[in-house]
Amino acid sequence: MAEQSQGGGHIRPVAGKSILSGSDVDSGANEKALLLGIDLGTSRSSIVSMTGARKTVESYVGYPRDAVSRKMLKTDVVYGKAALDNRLALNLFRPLEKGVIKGTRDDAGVAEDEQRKNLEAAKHLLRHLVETIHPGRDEVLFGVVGVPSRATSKNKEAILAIAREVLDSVMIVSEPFTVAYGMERMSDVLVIDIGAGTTDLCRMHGTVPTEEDEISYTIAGDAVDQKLHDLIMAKYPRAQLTVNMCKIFKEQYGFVSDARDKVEVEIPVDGKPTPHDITAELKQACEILIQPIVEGIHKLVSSFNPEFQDRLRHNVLLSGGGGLLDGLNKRIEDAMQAIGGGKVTVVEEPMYAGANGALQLAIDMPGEYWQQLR
Amino acid sequence: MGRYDDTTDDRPDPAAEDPTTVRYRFKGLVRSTGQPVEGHANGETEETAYAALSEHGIVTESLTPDPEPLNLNRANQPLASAIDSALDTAAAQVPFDQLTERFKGKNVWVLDRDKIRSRVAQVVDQALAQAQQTTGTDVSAIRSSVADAIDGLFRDNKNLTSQVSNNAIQMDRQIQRMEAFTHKAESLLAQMTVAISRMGTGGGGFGPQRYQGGSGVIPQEQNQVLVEIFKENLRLRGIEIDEKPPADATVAPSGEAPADSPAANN
Repeated sequence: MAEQSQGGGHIRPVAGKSILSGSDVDSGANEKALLLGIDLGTSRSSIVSMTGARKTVESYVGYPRDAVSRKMLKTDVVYGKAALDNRLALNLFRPLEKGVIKGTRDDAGVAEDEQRKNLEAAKHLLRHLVETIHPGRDEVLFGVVGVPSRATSKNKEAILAIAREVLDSVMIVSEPFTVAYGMERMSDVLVIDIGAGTTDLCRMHGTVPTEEDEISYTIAGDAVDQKLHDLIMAKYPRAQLTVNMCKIFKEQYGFVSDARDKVEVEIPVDGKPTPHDITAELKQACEILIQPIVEGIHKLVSSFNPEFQDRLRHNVLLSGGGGLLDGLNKRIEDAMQAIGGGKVTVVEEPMYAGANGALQLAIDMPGEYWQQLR
Repeated sequence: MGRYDDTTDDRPDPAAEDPTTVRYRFKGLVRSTGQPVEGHANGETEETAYAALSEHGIVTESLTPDPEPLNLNRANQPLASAIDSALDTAAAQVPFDQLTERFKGKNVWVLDRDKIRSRVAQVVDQALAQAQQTTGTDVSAIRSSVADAIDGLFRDNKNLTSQVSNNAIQMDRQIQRMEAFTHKAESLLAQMTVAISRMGTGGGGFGPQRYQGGSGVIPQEQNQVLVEIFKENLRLRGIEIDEKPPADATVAPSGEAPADSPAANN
């Protein structure tokens, strides 16, 4: 029930078929399993399945405020962009913060009731995410969920708890690790995963990374949005601007390279759409990512086995939404000159790299491990 | 406006007079002393009840609607409310877990609010009926009869308490034992799973699927990674695997700085 991949030599499971049958191996796992790779992100969440289906949803969950909004929206829960677009009629939740469920961080200071609501919203989001890929009725769902590299046990347990209510069997794995695993580059590689909530750096040396191999910064996409908002407001005080608008500008035009055309966007002033030149502000905001990344690379390289340090410096992978910023890899390379230079490569499909790697891991994981974790 | 009441006040309850006022049962602490207190508060909404309690120096821990029983002739029957209030005043909050620990395995009798209320009402009613038959309208004789009846009622604890079943506690203990057993079994099963997977493809075991049927050689490195992830996820579920460290555990992984390297000495 498995087929030979084009790469040669590799056996891959077939969608809708048992994950470990058709060979002389009796795994006791004779079920139609649908394997999933999931990246629960602060800003966006992605899912890829072994059937080839993949979806990305903005990590927003909204509940109608009252009967009127319920009647208008014709649903009890609204997800993703639809939730954001109708946020005035909704109690809107962005259940993830800094890569983990809001309120599960020790320093979060979120009320118990608020934490419960965020957990519920995260569960709804995950369920919606799974539903978007239309799993078969008789399929059991096994998924690998990526979490930020320095997520605590409490964070992981919270994600595990909600995921177990949605999936039949779940594994929690560090996100940068899934990126490296998906690219089959598990040795002497340094992965930088720039999300909305955290920027994670992780060095790989052929085994599961430990705490010493990982660094996580909260200077990430959200911090860029906020910085951009502050800079634009400082320059154009009359502009009517939200952080969400800044996020859209960043995603459309974000760059850190030196050569770039003028970036002009329309921002309302007294209700009238007015063109604003935000080129310098956008670049300045995006540049806040560079310094911490280079510091992190330096720390991880300098504490590595000296014989392999050079190899590590020249194998830096950039993934996550931040990897899409124009010229970021070059700027990091330039900044790395101070620590001996290096080579930074943007992974293929930075937005899906985490979920793709998680799926690969799910596929490689022996069936009885999945059964054991059910 | 709200009203708070933790006394044996037998005045008519405003909640009964004003249909918009709701009686709430509260538990809380006296702000100045920290002493637990519980009772009733009245208000049109929860907020007004909270406000009334706050004005009376009470920090409210819980507030639940507890409407007054329908009483068409309330002015003549203040007894039920008086008993309730008396019980409220006399009650004290204690950590329940400590109690169960302290009385584990023992037969416990607890004061039963409903039982007290019904028995008192019953005894007073009987005493009044009897007194009326025997003494006519002599008020002092009636009062004396009622007092004797209540005295008799409180002499026997069985009139006031109910036995807590020991079964529930025993059941709890059984569940705890089963949990421990399941946990152990899961741990053992996980240990076996890991051991089998480490045997590789030969001898009936198997490794990662990506390499099955391929060259026949499982990269030990990748297999180890999958085992580690599996074990980490077991740990997240509270399942620990007791494994003896491998013989070469003291050897540092290839990528990590060796003990005598300059990096390690930093």
